[in-house]
Amino acid sequence: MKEIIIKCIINQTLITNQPITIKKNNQVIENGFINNEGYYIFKGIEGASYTINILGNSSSFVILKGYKHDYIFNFQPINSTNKITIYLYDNNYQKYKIERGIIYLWPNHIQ
Amino acid sequence: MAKPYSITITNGEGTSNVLNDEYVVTASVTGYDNTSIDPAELQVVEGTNEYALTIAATGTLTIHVTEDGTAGGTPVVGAKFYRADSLGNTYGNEITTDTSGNAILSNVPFAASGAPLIYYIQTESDGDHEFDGTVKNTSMTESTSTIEVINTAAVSRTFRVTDANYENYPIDGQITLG
Repeated sequence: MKEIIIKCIINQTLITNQPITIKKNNQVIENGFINNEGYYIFKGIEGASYTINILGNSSSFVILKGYKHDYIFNFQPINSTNKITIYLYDNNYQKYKIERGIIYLWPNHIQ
Repeated sequence: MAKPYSITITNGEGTSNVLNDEYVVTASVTGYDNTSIDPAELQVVEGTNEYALTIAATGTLTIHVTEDGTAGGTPVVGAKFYRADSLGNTYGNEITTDTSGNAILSNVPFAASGAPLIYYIQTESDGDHEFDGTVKNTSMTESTSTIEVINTAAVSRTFRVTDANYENYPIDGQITLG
């Protein structure tokens, strides 16, 4: 097994805090999150082919023997996206803003 | 096809690029009941870029007000409090201490670790006691907790009334401070 560092750039922005899926032979082998520093550590087999999926984008890659640099995926802008803002309030204290947390949005059709 | 998104919330809001789609919403908010996220399903549509969600907590904070700030002290009845934020803005309904000196702040967050701060502010006492009207905070590691608040009895003060035309001549009577 070989540990590699995956970074993803979409629309010229380094992606942080987003879910990432790794597939091998079209089977999901790992779900994780790119961390707040913009990278995800993946352990794979040298010479094997994998596919990453992130925010509707996918790309295949091979873990090269002896290659020690980061694996950076640069995707084109996504169509039909909205830059949305989620406001999160306390249900019992109207307009009280929740100081910190994470909201996950799971597409209905993959639940 | 849209993929799952995680949106970090800071001070009540978070922003992300999201594909138009129908989503199931889940939450990870320390101290709150994550199953209470509302709405549980969200449709992200073209042209609508702001979405308001709510989440609820289930903890109960008892604010116990006495003259000496101890559990066994003389209770102060009628002291009024609000939940607040760090800036002193108030939220929800006013709560008032009962005959035992207890005011109940319901639906507040708690967690074994990393519990968020609960801010509160006292706006009145019973008229015979001093109180600190600045914003205070606490946190709860269990679903119920009690904090002790002191409202000391009003300080004894002396008022002297003399005749305006006869210096130091004492006047008998009564004055009212309104």
